[in-house]
Amino acid sequence: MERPSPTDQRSKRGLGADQAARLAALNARRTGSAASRAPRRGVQPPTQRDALNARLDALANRRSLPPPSARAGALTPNHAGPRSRRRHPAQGARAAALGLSLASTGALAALFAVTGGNPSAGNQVAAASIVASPRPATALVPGSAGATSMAAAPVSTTPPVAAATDAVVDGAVFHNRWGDVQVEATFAPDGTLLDVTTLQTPYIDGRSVRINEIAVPQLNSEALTAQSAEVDTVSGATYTSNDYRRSLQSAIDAARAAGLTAIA
Amino acid sequence: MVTTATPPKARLHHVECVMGTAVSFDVRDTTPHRDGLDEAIAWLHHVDHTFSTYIDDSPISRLGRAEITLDDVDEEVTDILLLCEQLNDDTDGAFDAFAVPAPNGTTLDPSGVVKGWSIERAAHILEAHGHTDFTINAGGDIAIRGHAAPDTPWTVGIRHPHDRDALAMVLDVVGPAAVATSATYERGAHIIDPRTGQPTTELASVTVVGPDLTLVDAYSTAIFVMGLSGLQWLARHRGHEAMAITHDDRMHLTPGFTAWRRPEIERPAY
Repeated sequence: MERPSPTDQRSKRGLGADQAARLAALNARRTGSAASRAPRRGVQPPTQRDALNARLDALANRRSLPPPSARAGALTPNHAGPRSRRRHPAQGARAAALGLSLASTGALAALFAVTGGNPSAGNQVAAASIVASPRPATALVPGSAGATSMAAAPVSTTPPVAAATDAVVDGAVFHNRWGDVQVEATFAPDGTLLDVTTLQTPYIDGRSVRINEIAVPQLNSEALTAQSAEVDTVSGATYTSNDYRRSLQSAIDAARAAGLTAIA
Repeated sequence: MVTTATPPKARLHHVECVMGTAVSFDVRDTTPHRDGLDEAIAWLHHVDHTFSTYIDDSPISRLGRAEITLDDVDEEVTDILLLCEQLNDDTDGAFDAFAVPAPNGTTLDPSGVVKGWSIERAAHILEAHGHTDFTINAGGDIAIRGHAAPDTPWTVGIRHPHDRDALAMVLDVVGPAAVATSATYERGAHIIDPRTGQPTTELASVTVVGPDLTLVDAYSTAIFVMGLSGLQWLARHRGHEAMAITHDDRMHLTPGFTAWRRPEIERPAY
């Protein structure tokens, strides 16, 4: 990697106590202002802080006006109406994890008590297998505007080779505003999580389908990345479906209770 | 240099659900204790409670409603907002923490910086506890240190925006480094251009590689809003490279990006 410039290094160690001073110095240099004196450590220069307060004040004033409906709609493409207070996704996951960790053979009962999931969906164990997929080539094409372009042919990840006695565990069903979410996890004989497939995904309109077609495989990959020999980790925007995670966690917990896996 | 037998790897792996996403720690050095991991996790929950726009009484939500002022919040909140303003200047408004509606009903949302910053800082916490080789992946944004194994770079897959179960590219990365990707389908919502209030549509995804996740994450968001011209904009930030994928499945790379690309995926011969 190239040596980063001072600008790039400004948060190299995170925003430490002297960060404000470094930011101020940076700002003074870029704007060419005469305020090049070194500010005191850990204290924002009054002008910057005042500017920030001014923006916060403007924000407060703007809030007294009705919000543009177009903006609210743009942030909530999947349902009509403004979003009221939402439960933080991590809260639900922690609640589910807590409920699951407290239970052993009664894991499902605890899960449904915590989450209100569909009690008709029990966890079950059965045999299954994994199918490998080939990898298409990536072709170079002429670039433009100083940047290289190429066809973004997919590089398929190679699933682990399945053993004869893999175990498949269905996760619990979770209901959200878009429908039901349920996953199915496959474990190798040694307890390794091999695969996660989606048994149910929400379906209401075209957009929901579009989102889930893309989002679910990402979450599959996220779950598999931890143990994939192909790549160590994956960068990509993640549709963080809490229900997906909870269903997967319930499958893992059920597998653990059955002695199939050591995954936490 | 005297070569001795490689000590057994005590791999530490942990997934923490925090900040509305799954944060995955993968520590591969031989530092035996997990004090650093515990401290990093506690740090992320602290950040979540401070900056969450999903929690109505978080300091950032109260600040957005003008119930409190900068005098009432931790110094780090002011620091983050100042950094947001720097980025706003730097990107000509493509990155703006004061313009896009947040889940709490305000339009103060520094989330575009907070995640990368907090993960980068979590990496520093692990380093302070002696860890040298690890990744922290927060919903696809990754802080990287050291190697995956002795003399072996981390392999980082870049998710393909249009093809399920596929990667668009694989990178070889030796830390310290960071990789972040912005894409339209994140959390089922679009990324809003703060200058227009409308969703941006030119790009399907943008991946940025650089030394520090704080800026890498923010730059990927900004370039996503800027469109392809953002690749030229990035040239002013040395040490950063980017790949954009358009909806016709073409990759557009800054000149130095290919240096990160894994030359060839090794395949075992059967």
